[in-house]
Amino acid sequence: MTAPVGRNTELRLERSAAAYRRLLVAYPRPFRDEYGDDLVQAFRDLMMTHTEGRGPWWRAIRDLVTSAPRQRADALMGGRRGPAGLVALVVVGLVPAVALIGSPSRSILFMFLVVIGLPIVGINRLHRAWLVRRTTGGRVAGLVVLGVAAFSSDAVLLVLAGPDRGWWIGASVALVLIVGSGLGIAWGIASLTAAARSRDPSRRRLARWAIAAGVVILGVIIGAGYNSYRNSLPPPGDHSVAQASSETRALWEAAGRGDVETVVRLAQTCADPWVQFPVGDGKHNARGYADERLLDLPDAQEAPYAEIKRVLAGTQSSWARRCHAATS
Amino acid sequence: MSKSPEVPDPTPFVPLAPAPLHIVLVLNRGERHGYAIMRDVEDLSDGVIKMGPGSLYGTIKKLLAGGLIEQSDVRPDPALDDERRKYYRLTALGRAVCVAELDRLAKLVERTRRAAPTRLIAEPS
Repeated sequence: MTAPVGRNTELRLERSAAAYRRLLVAYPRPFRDEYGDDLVQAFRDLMMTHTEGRGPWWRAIRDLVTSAPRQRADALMGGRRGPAGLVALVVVGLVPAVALIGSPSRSILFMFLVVIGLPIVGINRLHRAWLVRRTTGGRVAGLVVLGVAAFSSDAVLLVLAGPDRGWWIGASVALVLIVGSGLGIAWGIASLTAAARSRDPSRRRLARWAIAAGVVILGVIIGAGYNSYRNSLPPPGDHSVAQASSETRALWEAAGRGDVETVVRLAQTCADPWVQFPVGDGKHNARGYADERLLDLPDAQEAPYAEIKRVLAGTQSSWARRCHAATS
Repeated sequence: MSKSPEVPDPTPFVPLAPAPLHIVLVLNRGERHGYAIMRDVEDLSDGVIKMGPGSLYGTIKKLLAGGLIEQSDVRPDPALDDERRKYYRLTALGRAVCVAELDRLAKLVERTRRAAPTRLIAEPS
């Protein structure tokens, strides 16, 4: 009976090793090329020593989850350590975290994607194209075409992610931009810190100015994002009125008075399309007026919106015309 | 009283993080291959430090780059071991770092024992 058991164990070992080797794709290629066989050998030894249960697999997966990002980050930063690498990792980690927080962060995320994502993804692609040109001796015209194509494709992505598209299109585009932005930022920080340590004084000076400008831009974005977040706070009852911006307070007050025309005017002119205010029994944001969901309310809840729709019908905005067409 | 030029300066590498410290301590006992290092680190730390293949070779890569360890050309008896395995050993710099780090930790324990008003560290019996 021993021989079949031995064969089974060996087969299980081979399968496990093959599966583990496939998981090594999580590590960067240079690390894989240099240590891939050693990693598999260590995993096989681990499996042979701990033949029972899922202990070795659990340990290997846990190790993979913690060590692969570290190796990726090292590869991304060219093996450099220090505050720049840390900042890059924080930024790369922060973006998906912001995306996961929930609706109050949508404005911040949207702004990040548009203000930072679009240029950085484009610049990152330009840089890659430049590298291609330098290594292949291509022509500058080709570089320009590549750059235009990169920016155009990003613009198309943003249009695709418009508010009227399905959530999955928005999520896919956001994922592409988040990954692109993260890599672009990491690349930018790595390049700038490398330039800041350069022996060439003019290059060093330029890099330091660029870093300073980047910090200022980041500060402005964070400030604007915070302001946007304040605007998107829910109406009184959930949060203090004092926490809201003057724009939001004016909307709430007009809604409280039943002054529909003021509500509509403020909703049309407010800086943040996600700002929320109470209408009837519910809470809506400015963009909600253009949302078909508003038009599909049950009859019992329709009354508070009738006046709003009437005012909207008199305006010239495209979404108002759509509202009017949908209700008439 | 200047240091001999043959003794490498361990200062830039001290203090060592727990994982590299344990690997260096294990290799101070003799040459080891990857899995043997992993197993001995676990034994040495009473199971507190359990390394997986990825973190092991990630740390080995850094120690190799820093010149604290090197790959050994000495092969054990092929009949006893897989000759594809890579063996690692401590360099002179690695040994100096190991000594410096242990010295630092010993001083830390000693100072804490002397200075702490409360008994953070048990006196040796």
